[in-house]
Amino acid sequence: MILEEVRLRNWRGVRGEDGERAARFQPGLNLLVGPNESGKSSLLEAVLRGLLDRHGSRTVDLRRVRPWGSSLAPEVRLVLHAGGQRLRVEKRFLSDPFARVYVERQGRFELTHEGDRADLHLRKLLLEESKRGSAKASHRGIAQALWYLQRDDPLPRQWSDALEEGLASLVGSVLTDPLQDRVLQRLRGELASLFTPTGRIKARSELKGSQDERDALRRELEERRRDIGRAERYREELEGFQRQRGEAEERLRAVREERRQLDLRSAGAPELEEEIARLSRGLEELRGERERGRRRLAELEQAGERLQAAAVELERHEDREAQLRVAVREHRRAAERHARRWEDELQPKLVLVRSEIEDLRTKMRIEQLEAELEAIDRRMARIEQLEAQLAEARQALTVLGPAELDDVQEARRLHERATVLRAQTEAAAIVVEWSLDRDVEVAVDPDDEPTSRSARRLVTRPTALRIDGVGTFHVRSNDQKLETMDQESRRTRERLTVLLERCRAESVEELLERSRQAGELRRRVGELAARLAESLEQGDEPADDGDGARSPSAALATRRRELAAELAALRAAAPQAVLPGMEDWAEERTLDQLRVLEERRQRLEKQIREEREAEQAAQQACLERNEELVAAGQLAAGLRAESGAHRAELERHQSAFGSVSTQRQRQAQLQQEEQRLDESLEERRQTWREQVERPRERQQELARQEAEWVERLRQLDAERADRRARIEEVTGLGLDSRIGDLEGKLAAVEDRCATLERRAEATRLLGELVAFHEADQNASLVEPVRELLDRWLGQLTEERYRGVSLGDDLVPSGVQPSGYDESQPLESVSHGSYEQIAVLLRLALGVLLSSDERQLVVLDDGLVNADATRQQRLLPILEEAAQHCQVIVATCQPSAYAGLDAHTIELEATPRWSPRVLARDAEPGSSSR
Amino acid sequence: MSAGAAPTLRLLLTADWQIGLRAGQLRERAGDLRRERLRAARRTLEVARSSGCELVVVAGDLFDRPDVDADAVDGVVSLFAEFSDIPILVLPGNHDPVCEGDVWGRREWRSAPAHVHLLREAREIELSSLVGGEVAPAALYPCPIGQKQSRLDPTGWIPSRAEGDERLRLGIAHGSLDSMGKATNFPIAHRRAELAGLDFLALGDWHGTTILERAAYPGTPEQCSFGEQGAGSALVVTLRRGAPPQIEQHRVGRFHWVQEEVEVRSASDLQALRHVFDAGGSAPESTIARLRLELAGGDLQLIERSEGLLEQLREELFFLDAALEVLDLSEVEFESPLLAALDASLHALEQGEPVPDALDELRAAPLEVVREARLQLRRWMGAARGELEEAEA
Ligand SMILES: [Mn+2]
Repeated sequence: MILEEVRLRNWRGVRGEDGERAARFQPGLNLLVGPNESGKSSLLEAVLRGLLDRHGSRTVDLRRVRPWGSSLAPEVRLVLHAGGQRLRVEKRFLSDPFARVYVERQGRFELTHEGDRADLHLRKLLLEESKRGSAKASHRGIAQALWYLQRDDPLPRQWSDALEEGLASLVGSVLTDPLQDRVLQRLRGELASLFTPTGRIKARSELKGSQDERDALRRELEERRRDIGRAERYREELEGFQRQRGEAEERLRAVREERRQLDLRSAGAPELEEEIARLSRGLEELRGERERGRRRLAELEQAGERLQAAAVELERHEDREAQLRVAVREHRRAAERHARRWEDELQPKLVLVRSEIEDLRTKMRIEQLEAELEAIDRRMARIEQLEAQLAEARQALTVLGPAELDDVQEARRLHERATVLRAQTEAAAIVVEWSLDRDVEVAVDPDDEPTSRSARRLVTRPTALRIDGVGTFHVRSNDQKLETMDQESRRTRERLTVLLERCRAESVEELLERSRQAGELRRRVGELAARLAESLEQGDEPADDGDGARSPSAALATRRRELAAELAALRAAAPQAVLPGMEDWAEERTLDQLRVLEERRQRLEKQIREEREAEQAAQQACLERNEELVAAGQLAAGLRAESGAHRAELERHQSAFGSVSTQRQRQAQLQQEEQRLDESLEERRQTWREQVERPRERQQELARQEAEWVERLRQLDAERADRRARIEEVTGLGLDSRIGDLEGKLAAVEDRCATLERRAEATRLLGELVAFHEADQNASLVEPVRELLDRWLGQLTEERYRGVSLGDDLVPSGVQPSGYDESQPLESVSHGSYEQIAVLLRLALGVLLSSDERQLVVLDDGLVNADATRQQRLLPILEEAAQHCQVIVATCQPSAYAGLDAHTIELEATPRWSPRVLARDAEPGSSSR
Repeated sequence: MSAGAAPTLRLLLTADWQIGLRAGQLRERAGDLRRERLRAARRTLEVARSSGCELVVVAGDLFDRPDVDADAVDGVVSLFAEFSDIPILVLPGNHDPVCEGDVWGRREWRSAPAHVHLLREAREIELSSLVGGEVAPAALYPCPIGQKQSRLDPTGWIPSRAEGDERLRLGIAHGSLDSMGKATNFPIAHRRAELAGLDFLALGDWHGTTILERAAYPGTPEQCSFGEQGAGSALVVTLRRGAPPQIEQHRVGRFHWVQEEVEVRSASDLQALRHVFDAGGSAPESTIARLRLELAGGDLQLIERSEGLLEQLREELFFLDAALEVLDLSEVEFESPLLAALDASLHALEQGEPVPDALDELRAAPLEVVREARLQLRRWMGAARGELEEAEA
């Protein structure tokens, strides 16, 4: 496809009621020149949108095409050459959109496609399959490779399918073979009818249908076989029943035979039964008699035992009586023994000890009284002495004179006051000191003593100093207090003098001395009086009778008299035997002796007491035993009576039943007889059990078994009938024929499936092989592209690079610098070079894709980064390419293309509407070339 | 038969009707073949009638399985009812043994007419007790089968001929004569007739007719499967005391079973094959065939002709099970390099020769698939060429 003319309205900057922009192109090289903003890109965009965008599209991108701020409908009109035809395309977007394709026939354009079909037809010109619009380069069909617009990446990661298809169809057209086409078409058709795009068998294919049928048949067959298999199972069950039936019949026969045998054996049963009854009765009678005898014997034995027991009891009591009698006697003897002991032995000893103690005590009292008398005598002497001393002291105190204590204290206070005043006066007094040159008398008034030529004087009151020949000096203190103190001092002294006179003392010191001596004397008198009182009171009971007449000394005297009297009495009373001992008297020894005696006395008293108690105890015991003895005697008498009664009873029994031994003999006889009978009976019973009872039980058991086996047989027959009926039920369903039919049908379908599967797999195999071989061919397509690209790259870079590493996908991955074996990653070359490689690749693809029909290559300022040298070297390459395909180069720098043999279309800078298209060649077909 | 003369008995011997045979190998025609078996039975009984037989003996395997459909049993019983003039003795075989739940206990069989006698016990039977007095004095020794398999000789119980016993003694058994030397099911001593003093031992089980001195297998009246030999007959046996039995073989089967493996190299091979059916012993509609055609070095035309022949036979024959295997295709000139490369790759895969790495996975494709692919390619090419020529013309 190549472009002849483009016209656009209401497209971005191109607006206005009659606004329109147009450009016409030559089939070869075209240079679209215009400054920035002149609308070069808009023009190219309009071509792409006109070819690829759906007329009804309302994408945001498309709405931006509308002139800014308007609601005008963008419109594009193209004239194209494609497939050997000249086409006119008209598209309007957004408002009242439409799309129309006209084909020129005999000089006139005829409308061939309209609306969506027009859109579709136009996209097919670029081999674009999707309906996604022109926005992304990968949705532009082969224009992805041939159009290099400003915002596009120089090279994509991969080319769209359209490019590969384009190249493939290119190759296909080169090697085209109608036979092959038809075969491949057939193959693709078969593949499409057999398989889904993911390679699975299609749901509606014949193969799938056969497989489904086969699976259904298999399922049904399995089901039917299972159904008919039931008959086989029933038959197996029947065999089991049959076996069981045989066994059951066998058992039933055996049971019946045994019953018959048993019936024969139990014929003698009634006679045996009669005999057993007779024997049982005899045994019962015998047992009754034996029981009665046993009771009588028991009574006899009990009476004997009771008699025996009574005799034993009586004997026991008589023994007890004898024992008690002995005890009474012994206790009485013990009482007498104890009485003798304390009366005859201990009592006299005690009397003796007591008299000794009395003697000792008398001796000690005498001694005591003598000592006391001596002490009283000493005290009386002392008291006399103290009374004499007291009288003496009292005399001395009288001599000393009256000195009242108050006076002494007053004298002391006045004396102290005078002293203080004098000291204070002197401290406050004025010191007058003088020293005269001459020995002149100095009179001082008031004064008491003359004064010499030089002196020092204290002035305590207004004083006049009259110095002979000189005059009189008056000295006084300015302070009134000094004078007052002086006066008081004099008054004090006067009062002191008066006091001393009254006390007849020469001085205060004397008065004080006298006062001190008087104090001492008074203290002495007090002391003596106290000592006297003390002596008097010593050892005396206080005079409590209130008899004031009795003085302490008188009491003492009385006491002495009493003691003397007592002593005299004692001496008189004391036996002579005691008294001589007085010579070696010692109090301690006496006390020891007394203590020993006292202990002996106590011991004796205790012994006597104990003996007396023992005596009383023995007497008490004697009394008690005696009482017991009496009681025992009574009890024994009772027992004797009882024993007599028992004996009488026993004799009565013996007279009635005979003796015990007779009875026992009878019992033994009865027992033997019973045993004999019992054994005989047991024997019969054993026979009964064996011959009658057990067979009878067995009969019952056998009857039960027989019934069971009969029932079992009945059940088995019922089961058999049931299974047979079920088998008939199964065979009545026609399953066998059905299985035969199904098996046949399945085998047929399986054959068909196998054939179809084989064919499908063969088709798939062919498909895979075709894909492989086509890809192989595709790879061989890359070669011419690579050759052209390598040549141009060497030309452009002056052999700096000698080639491009081009993958089978036609995406370059590196360049090969001259002189190196290894290729260099594409990312590592300069951006300019990279861009140039992209341009060259697109030109090369354009050339090759144009082998059948001229294709359009668009470069929108794709070489801005080329230097001047390379730019110049590029021009012949562009010219060479343009010999094969249409090339439109858009640029804002026409000088870079100076000298290029190209058709130039200039666009004005102003975006404003210009009514005319500025083109050097206004008419198609009159190219400058 | 006349008084004083040696007793004579004329009977029809048949066996192995295998009624109810599923015959799945005949695909869609399995049902038809089942129905055909009953027709063969009818023809057998018609032979008995036309040959003046006094008795029909069915020596086992009347039914193919114990669970045969009620309809099939009904069919047999109805058929027997049509031949009420001839007593029919039926021996249970290994396919229809006497046992609990057997076919003989079923309602359909119990309604069999009175002239049909099931020989369910191994005991001597006076023939006259079964068929009435108008028959030569003869003792029957039936040897019914009570299970599917056994290693015991079912005829072992037959007593020797007693001194002075001048009756005809006829053994009826089902099993395999042990003369074959193999371990067999129900082995029958091959000298049983001589050992037991039997005039004749009627046998069933072998599907091919086998006639011995005093014993015979009639074989199945209608062949059951490919590979059976000598099937499709009934025997008319005439017994006379003191003389060897006279045995006539009558064809009663309809179908011929043909199994061929043919190597096709040229059109003449196909013609020869065609001739097999045209000149065969039976009409094509009574022929059941299994063909294995191996085409070696064949071109597309030969393949198509082969297919055409098979198609034609499939139309004509009662049943055809055919397989066509193209062993080696002749080389073809491909103008298109792509198609040539394609065929070369397929050829390499077929021959197990090396292929490009990218195609290595395809080596796993089964040989038949590879061959089919080559064939398809040629077919499509042939079709395309035809279309192009048509378009040109
Ligand atoms: Mn058999």
